[in-house]
Amino acid sequence: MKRTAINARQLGFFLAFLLPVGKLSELPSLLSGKVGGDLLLPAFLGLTVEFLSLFALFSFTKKTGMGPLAYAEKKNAKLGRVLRVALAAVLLVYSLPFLLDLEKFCNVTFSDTEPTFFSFAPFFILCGFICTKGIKAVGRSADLCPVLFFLPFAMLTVLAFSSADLSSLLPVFEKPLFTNVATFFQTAPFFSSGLLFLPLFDGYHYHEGDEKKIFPLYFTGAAAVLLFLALFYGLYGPLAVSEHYAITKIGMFFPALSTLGRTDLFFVYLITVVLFFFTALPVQLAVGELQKGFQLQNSLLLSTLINLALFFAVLFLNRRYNTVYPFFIKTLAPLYLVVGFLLPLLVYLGILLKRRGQVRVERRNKHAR
Amino acid sequence: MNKTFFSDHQKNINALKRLLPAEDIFFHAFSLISGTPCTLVYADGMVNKGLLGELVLRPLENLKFENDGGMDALKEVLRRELLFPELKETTELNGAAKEVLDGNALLLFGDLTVGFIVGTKMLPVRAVTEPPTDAAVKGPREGFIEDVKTNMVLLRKRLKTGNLRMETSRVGKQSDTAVCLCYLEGIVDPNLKTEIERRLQTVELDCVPDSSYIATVLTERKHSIFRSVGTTERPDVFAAKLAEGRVGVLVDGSPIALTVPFALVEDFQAGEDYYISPFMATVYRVLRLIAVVVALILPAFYLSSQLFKIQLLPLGLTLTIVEGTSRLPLSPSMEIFVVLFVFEVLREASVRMPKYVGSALSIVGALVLGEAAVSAGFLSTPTIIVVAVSGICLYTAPNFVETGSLLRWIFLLVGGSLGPFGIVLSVAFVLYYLITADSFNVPPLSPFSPIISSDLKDSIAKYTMYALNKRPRLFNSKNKTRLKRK
Repeated sequence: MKRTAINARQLGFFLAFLLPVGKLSELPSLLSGKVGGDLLLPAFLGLTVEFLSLFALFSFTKKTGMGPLAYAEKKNAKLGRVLRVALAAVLLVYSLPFLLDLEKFCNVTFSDTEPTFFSFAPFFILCGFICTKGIKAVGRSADLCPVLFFLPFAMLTVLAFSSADLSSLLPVFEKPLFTNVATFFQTAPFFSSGLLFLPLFDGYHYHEGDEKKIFPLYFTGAAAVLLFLALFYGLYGPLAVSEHYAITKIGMFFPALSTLGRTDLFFVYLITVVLFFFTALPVQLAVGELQKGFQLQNSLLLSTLINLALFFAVLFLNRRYNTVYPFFIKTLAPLYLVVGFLLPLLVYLGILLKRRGQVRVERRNKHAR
Repeated sequence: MNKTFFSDHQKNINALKRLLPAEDIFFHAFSLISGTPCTLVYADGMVNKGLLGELVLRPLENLKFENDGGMDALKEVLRRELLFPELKETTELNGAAKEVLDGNALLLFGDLTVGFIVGTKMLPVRAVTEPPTDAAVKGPREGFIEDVKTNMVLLRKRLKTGNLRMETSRVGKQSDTAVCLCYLEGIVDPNLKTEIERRLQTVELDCVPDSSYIATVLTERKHSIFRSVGTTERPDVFAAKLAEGRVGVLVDGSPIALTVPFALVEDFQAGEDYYISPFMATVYRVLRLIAVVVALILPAFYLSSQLFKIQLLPLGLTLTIVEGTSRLPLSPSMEIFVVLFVFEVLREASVRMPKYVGSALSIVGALVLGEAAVSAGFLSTPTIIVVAVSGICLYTAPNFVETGSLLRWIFLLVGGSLGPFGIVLSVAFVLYYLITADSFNVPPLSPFSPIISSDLKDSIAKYTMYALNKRPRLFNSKNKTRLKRK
């Protein structure tokens, strides 16, 4: 059996327990603000799109035995390297809204008062360290996530359940379908994980029956996101729009917490560890792609430079958060969708057509003989 | 360069005296009835003189021997007269000198170009007792001692198989310490053994006073605060680890045996876990894990919640803390740092002090000092409780104390300066470090990351003996089965 940097179980755990965490912070309030009780519909649409890109890349890897980037590099080394550098650039841009969100999330979750931006700076040390590690480390971190994500998530869900009024989600389709679809487009970065799958599938090799592990685990993660969104809206109703960083606020109304203190935050802190891994992931993958693209040996220097640049970028953009954030989320949404959704679909269709062509030629040759 | 013996008795004696000029090396000269000069060379206090007199000198006293049959005739005579099981020959002066320093006696006959090593070594060793750092309520009471030969016997007693290999080599330019590599042939991964041998050859040490020196040589990440070599004082644990596919290292002069590869989860497992019900073993392991987590982060969270996130604490506790700390001269950070510092000082002092003073010191330190500090309004009760709980909890995993203590300081510093954010960030950092810091191709967090489902049966959970019928996959053992039902 070929040894892989990330195996099917790790990929599955990544999809089930690491990927959803990016959708539990700012996305719920964004969706609530746009479609209210219909928030599950654009989320479902987004998850479907995300699944399609996963399916496309998985099938591509299954058919070719390698990820699309490695395939491109095999066919044309120069083109492959250019694609890697381009993807790295997109990944770095993609990481910015998540970094901005994380900074605000940390302020809300970890402090009673507003700390200075510089107290968030140590995150870039962690990020820099993570960036020196390869895809193998992503797989191993995913292995930790059932404990770090699933158990606290389950606890928070239990805490939220008693206070949530799920009837706030009714009636379904309160907003027109167009609004729901438009909302999906306006929150596309949260569902553009295809961007992350592209480099990840470079470290994965298909083995018989892997789809039985990977797809059900993706659906588990997707179900967890939908359940969370439903509970969040059930808890806050129309007020959900102003309740940013939902994961911090989902369990706070559990009656016992008034006497126990905010012990729900300990579960949130565990999930935050996963959130740190998730937020660092695009940067980590970008560093990996740049390293391969420019054929660099030393990842430490590259990682330091990129994280330093990101630190200053976040420091600068943080002051113009209200202007910048919609730019990254809405204006750049087509870019993420093209690279994270269309590109995987196109490469899959491309390989599918190529295979069919080959089969046709083989058949013709057989007849000719 | 290795010199060989001369064909002149006096020249050999002179050469050996040059090699062994120390005053504790005795050169006992005597003659056979035939007048052949003989010399017995030995290190004073390291040989069994009674045995030497009874089995060597007495038979030689009456030996009638003419050196006209050459070396072969002499060997034949010696074999007949000296009924000594450990008798070997050497032609090298340096080799002979080393044997003398090792505690054996060297016998020189006339002008022969060969010396006879008589295995009469008798080094002062302490008795085999219960290991002080690894005591158990159930299970064997024997522990390793400082003598490597005794330790090898203790191991052989438990693994009576020809597959148990004990390869001894010498490490240390000055100390010439015996280092014994133990493994079970057919079970151990040969690559692992080769890698250990390679690492041992990469460093030329001057002196090996303890096995920790060898552990440092075997460690891949020299600056890591996490150890990557397991240690035990118990022969039963050592034997069980070899049977799992690990390689063990016994070092002369050290009661601490080393085992590699090492996974962090071993720190939460005790030898006793295998002698009690698996359910109780699981409960104890979970307890240890929770206790260590509490020990590491409780002081940091207590401080950071006071400074950054008061919501974390229940209202009642907040009021108690406010009441206790409002009149204190120290800030919360300073207070907890002082208490933890005093705790570490007390711990260090009680370990180093003579036992009869140590117990008195811990009573004075823990009770009198704490009580007096609270009464004087210098420290608050909750802080002392937090540090005391943390201190006790850490000792549930004794092998993790050094690392844990350091991590506790780090978490406290980060928690005090950045709040809970700093603690969570540090935890993420430590976890990410651990998932990537492989040693001997074994990740420290295995079998949790990467998950090895079959090895999870003996990790924090402990399954029954029948469920553990396969050797841990982690060690890549050739022989996978360790239990078969008949």
